[in-house]
Amino acid sequence: MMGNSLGYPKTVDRAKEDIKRYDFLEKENLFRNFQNKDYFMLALAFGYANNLRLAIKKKASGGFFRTETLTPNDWMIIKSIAITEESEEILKEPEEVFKVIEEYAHGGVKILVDEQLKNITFGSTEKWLEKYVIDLYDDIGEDR
Amino acid sequence: MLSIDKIEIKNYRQYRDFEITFDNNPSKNNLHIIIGANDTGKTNLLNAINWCLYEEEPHLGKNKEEMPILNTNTINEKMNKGAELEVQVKIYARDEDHKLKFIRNHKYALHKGNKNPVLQDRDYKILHTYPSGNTEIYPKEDAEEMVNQFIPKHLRKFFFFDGEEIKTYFKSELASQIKKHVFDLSNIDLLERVEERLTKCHKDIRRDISKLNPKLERIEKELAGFEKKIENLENMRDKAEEQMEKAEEKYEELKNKLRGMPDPDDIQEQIDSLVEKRDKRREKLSKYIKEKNELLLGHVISFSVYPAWENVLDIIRKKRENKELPPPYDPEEVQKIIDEGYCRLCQRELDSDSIGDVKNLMNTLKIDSKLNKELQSMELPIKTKMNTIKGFKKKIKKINSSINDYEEDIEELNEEIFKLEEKLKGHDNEKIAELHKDKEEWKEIFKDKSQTYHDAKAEIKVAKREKKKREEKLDKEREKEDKADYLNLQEDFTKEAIDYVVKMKKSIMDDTRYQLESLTKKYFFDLIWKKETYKNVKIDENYNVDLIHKDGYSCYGTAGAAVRQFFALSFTLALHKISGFDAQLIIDTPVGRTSGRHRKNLADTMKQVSENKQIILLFTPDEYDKKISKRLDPVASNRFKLKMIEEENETNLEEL
Repeated sequence: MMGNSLGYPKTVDRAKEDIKRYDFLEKENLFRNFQNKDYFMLALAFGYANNLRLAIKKKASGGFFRTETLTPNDWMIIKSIAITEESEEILKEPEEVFKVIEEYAHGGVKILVDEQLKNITFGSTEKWLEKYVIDLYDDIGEDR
Repeated sequence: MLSIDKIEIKNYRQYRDFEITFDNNPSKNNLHIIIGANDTGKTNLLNAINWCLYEEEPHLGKNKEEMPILNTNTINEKMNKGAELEVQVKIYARDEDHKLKFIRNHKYALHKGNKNPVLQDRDYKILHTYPSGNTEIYPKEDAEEMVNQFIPKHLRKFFFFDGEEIKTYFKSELASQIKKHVFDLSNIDLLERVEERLTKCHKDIRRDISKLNPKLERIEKELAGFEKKIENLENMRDKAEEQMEKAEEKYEELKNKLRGMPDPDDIQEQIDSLVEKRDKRREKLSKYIKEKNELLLGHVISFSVYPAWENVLDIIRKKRENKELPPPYDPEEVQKIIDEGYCRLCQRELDSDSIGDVKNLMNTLKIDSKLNKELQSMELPIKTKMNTIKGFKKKIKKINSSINDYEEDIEELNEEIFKLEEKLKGHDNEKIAELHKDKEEWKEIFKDKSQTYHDAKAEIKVAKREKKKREEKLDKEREKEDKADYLNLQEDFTKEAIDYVVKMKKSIMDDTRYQLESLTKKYFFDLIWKKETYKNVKIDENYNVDLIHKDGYSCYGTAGAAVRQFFALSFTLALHKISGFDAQLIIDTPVGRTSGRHRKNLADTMKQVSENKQIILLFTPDEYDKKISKRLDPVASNRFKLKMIEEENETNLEEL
């Protein structure tokens, strides 16, 4: 049920202006084993955590990756964000779900690349990620 | 007594044009002090003397041997023109009224533009001026041989004394050199020849006796066979002993030469092993870094979405509280109950009312939307995922601790590798490796010859036993032979004469050894401060020396550096006295290893000894402290300072 992509668009899209940002991520050694879907999920998480949802002015043509590549875990994340953003009723409108996540990913990749990765002046990307993740962890108030 | 009046040095190492005169001030002692900081050429002055006398430089420091013997400033000056250059050391000495001039020259050709001088000719001569005024010149080989009459090369350690090399004194090879030398100087060689002649006579007589009867002849032949065998074995043993000594000498020489130099093969092996260790650590480190990155990347999304998950669980909880979510059931099972009219749960037939109720319930449940099912299906995965977050910090901490450990290890290993690599820099590693190889080869040769030596010794013992048996047999048979009376008498006489000569030899040797032992003991107990610690000084038949502790055990090996230095000095002075080679004593870094009261004693001894013997002492400024200078300044005939002109890299002399 959770992994069912029935009724959802065949591809997940990205903003045209994000192509260069995703290219930047591709060059980053830390993400060397990533597929497009993985970059997108990371961007989505960043957008959501930083509460930056940006409307996409123009989508890049051809779709970023195929919807069928999403795992049940990915769907669980996508739907949780969409439900929290709107309400559970959003699940009746798959296109709306994708709109929410694509806009969050648009905001997320912008922060991730323009504000974070490009501004690392001291230490490695790994060190930055470690600090970022630990801060996030402290924010959610674990160990609960 | 031999003493040095003057040394002239031209173009030898840092001595470009150098002259030092040791005037003996009649109102003072024959003591001469030379003070020079490290690298001002103190030790090379000692090398220059050795080079002049024996064409050897036994005290060359590391890397110095790579440098040309010719003064480098002279080379640099003449390099562009090309020239013929000469290294020369002249030692002016006197022995009572005899004047001696030792002159060694090496001529080099320096080709234009080439920094490496090529040796063209070497010359050595000694000019001996007799009290009558006549001068005799000893050229080349004669001179090389003659120098040993003044200071034997193999005993030079006891004339040119290096305070820093004290621990190498009294090695077995030196002991055997001393033994040989004492043998020579006691004229025992004459007795040796007598013994040889008598032995030959004895053999001839025995042969004549044996011809008197076939049985005697057979025993005599057997006896001669054993004698031949013993002779061969003794030759073999002596040869092996010589080779052992040579091997040990070479081994020590190379060991000294290599002192302070790295062993490239050994260091490379250490580096390789450290690099292997480091690479293994790096592999582990990469594994942990990868694990950490995966953990971080795996959790960055979970932590980001965590509030959304909490929200979804909250929605589900509320819906469940409002009974908006149906309990879990199996629609197929319920349909079966309806179709069969029999409830498996309560195990009874259902009437039409009950079937109607079940049908109604089914319809109500169908109202449950696809939406609620989807919501419900998210509950378990979200909870599972949220659970995996627990203990994240512990995990990261553990991985970070491992990463830190490995990083520290790697850093330490890198430092060790760096240090070892630094050690290898600035050396001719190929040459050093070769020297190490040579050293190990000499060690092997020593082992091999030592085995031969001991085997031969054991075989000699057996052969001598057999020989004795034959001799007894021969004596018995000879007694039966009347005709042999006269010859027997001759044989007995020669045999007794041989025994007498051997005893005489031993007695002279023992006497000399005893004198050496007594004198060493006397000097030693004069020198040391804590006299009650030691009881005696021993020199055995093979001239191995030892010091006996008051409790009776031998303690030379465990004595401190100062005590060993005093011991070596005492032995040296005794050897000078009884050897007949009562020459000057030149000591480099004389008090280097001593301190406090020992220093004062040493200075007092030098003062005392220099009343009757020329002593030249080479001090560092630190060594020549107030305690020493207070004692030696008033009695020293000369005091000099060696100065290095830094830009010119040349040693100059200043009289103080």
